[in-house]
Amino acid sequence: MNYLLRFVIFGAITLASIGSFNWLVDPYGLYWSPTIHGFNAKKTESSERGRQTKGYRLNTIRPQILIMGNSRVEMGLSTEHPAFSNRRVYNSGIPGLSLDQQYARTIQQINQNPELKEVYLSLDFLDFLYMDPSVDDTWHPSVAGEFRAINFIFSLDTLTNSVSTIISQQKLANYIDRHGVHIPENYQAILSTEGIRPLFTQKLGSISHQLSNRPLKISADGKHNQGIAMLQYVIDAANAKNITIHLFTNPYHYSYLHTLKDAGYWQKFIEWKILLAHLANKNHLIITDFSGFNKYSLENVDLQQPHKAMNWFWEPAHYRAELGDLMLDELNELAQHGIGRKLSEESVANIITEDNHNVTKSMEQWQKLKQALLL
Amino acid sequence: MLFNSVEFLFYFLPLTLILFFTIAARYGKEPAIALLVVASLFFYGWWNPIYLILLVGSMFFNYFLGQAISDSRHNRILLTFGVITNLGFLAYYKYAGFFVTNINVLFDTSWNFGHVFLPLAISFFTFQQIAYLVDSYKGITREYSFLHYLLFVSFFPQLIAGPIVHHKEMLPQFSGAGTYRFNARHFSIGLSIFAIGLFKKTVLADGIAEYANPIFTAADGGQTLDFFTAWGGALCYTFQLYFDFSGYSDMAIGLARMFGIVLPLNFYSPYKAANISEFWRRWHMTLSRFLRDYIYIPLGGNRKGIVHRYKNLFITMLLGGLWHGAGWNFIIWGALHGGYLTLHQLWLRLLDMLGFSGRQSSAYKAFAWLVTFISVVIGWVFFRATTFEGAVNLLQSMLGFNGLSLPNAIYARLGSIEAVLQFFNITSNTQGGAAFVSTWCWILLLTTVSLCLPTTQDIFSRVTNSLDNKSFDTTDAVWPAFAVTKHWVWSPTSRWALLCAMAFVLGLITLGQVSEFLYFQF
Repeated sequence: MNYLLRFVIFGAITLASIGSFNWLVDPYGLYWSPTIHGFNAKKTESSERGRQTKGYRLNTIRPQILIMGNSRVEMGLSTEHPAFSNRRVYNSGIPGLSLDQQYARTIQQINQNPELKEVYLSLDFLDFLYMDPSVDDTWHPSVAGEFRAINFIFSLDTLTNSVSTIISQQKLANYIDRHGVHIPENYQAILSTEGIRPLFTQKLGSISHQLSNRPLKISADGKHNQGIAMLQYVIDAANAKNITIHLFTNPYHYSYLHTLKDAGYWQKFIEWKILLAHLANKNHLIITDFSGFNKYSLENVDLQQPHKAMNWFWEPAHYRAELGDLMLDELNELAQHGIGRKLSEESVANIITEDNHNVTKSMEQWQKLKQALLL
Repeated sequence: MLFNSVEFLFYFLPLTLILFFTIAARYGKEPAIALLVVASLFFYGWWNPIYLILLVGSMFFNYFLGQAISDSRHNRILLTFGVITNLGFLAYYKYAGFFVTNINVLFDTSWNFGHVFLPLAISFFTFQQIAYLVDSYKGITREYSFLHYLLFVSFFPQLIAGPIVHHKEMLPQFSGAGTYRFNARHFSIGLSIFAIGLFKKTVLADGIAEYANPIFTAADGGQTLDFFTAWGGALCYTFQLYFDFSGYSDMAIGLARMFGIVLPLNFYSPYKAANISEFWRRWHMTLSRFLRDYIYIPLGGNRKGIVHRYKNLFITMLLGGLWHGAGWNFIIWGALHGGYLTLHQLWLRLLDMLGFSGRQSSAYKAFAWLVTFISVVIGWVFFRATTFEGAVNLLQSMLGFNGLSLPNAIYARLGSIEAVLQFFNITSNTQGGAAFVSTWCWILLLTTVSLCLPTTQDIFSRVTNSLDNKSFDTTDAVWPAFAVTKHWVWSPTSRWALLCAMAFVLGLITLGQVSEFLYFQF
């Protein structure tokens, strides 16, 4: 057999082998080919690829209940909660996904998925901040990025990630399960080796740096905000299809809220809540505010036991699924735990008073933590 | 279009090969050459068709001027006119903005030259044609066919980033009848060389690039970097550039070979070099040859005494630096290498004066290699950084001015070694441990590959990889695994078919990823 023919045959065999191997290991959790414990059950390379893969999964699963937001809901809201029993749920939270993309994806599902009945949409303060706060009336939802599944099957990146997935099955590593929930095992690994301190110093330092370097604004006139305008688009789309929409703000650890305050963003935080309250009244909607001070958000950071995980938070910006379960209890009125507050034009003044009071009250606790963290 | 792109690999190349050999078989040589010229111009125009005007205009101008020079028998005025015109265009497109910016800084003026688009590969086709004019003047070569001349300049495998070919190297090949018949052996060799080049570029160079780019971006942005991060970034770029250029050169040689054309060697394991002169005999060899023949020697070379020799060396390298780009960092890079070469010459004289005879010893070679390699890495910092401040910032970090630290994730796992690290004032930082480990694994892997493995020239030496006859050459070089690898020579066997096919497929499955050739910018 001549050399060129052998070259072609070996090339075809290599290509087919790589494609089959990538499909079988499925490192990004795209196809959910047969899973084997210790081989490919944990999709440890999936957590960084949600932006590309979750849209594909959404179109494949066609969920009845959609959870949308950023990394906070991705790792904080479990699809196993009793409120979701016997229904197809997909957590489409994606780390760092811009607000317009969160809403564009939500609207796409509302318009294209006839099975969809409920949407849980998280609201995150930082997403509503803009360098230029003027509202763009021409905004139209458009999902960015074209997804081609074949690019993932015949890809060197996928091949290296397939190998890495197999190797890291026994390790503590982040992964996304088949329902889109981010299982943040990496926090446990960091806690057991480095302890809780770097989780706090890194996150608080990064937020502080992010906010101090740019003069971000909520609104130009105190009434309008681009994010709120886009959110109205989502609400209208959901109403048109009779889809229930659950709006809620994410909970933050008190150290996160104090970092916002130290960076000069507390008034903007309050301003944001007023805008949300107005939106709730305008649309006769319930917006549940989980971003206040309570026994959960004021959880102590025990630096004396640095390897012990906190009960409700992984670090200042990300809450644990245990807290997420309590939020889902309240959102579905299954139980009351004293975390959520209904935001409306009637309640917002009390909420602001309460938040202002608590931020002052917790100042001493924050100063102690700051000193201990050497911030 | 890039060599590692879907449009090139699946459309342009197969179609051009099929048409070329079909037309050659049916209609003969000249129509086949015409097809290849049209294909090459299409290939060039794919980036921006407007560039074609300059390329085609330049080829017209130089061909007819070359004719006139040949006919006039050593008319120096014509030659000078040709060289100045070519350099004038190069200066306008490549250096005018840089020149005006510096004038403005120097005299506090605010002249605005407007935005001039840099035509792709202008440095390559300008130098190639200047060489043609000089060779015509000297009577070394003469072109009678305009069509052949067009192919000599625009032949797509070497048009964009070299090798810079001499007319006399290509003309006999374009004229040979064998070139126009499909030859399975040539095609097998070309495809195998291309496959290895594709692998080097897409898997190795692009693989390590993601660890180099953020570090240089950070340094240019004024961020303070620690010692290990800075060295990691500099070394990753060192290998990114190596495998990028080496891979490109292999692909160019492989593509030309598919058409039955053998190109000159452009790259021969430069990181094995144990002195800076040897490095330049192995890195971008056709540019070095051009600089030697058309700048260094005309300046006087080594004919006017030592001082003049060093001065000529320095000027040549300075211009070599400027050739790579209009920026002070490129000039500094060229000056550094001019300095290195001068120092190396002085060092050799000193060793001779001292009667030192151990230059071939392993210990001396290892030491010389280390000094050479570190010098080259320092040079690359200026070559890659986009600002002078960025380069200095990175170098300061490489010298330890900004402290030594390890990612906390690694530091916390070191246990008892932590005390030793503290003794050496090595602290912890909050950077990612995984990225740190990946960076240094890549560096270790590619150091081994570039030092221990034979290059494509060695592997294909029995089947004439290039116009150069270098083969497993260890002159003034280190090669730790020479005894093991000296038998790794390509032959049309199943084993090589498997290895090359795997390399090709691994390169192919990177096509969806972002990629660019570093040398295209020059």
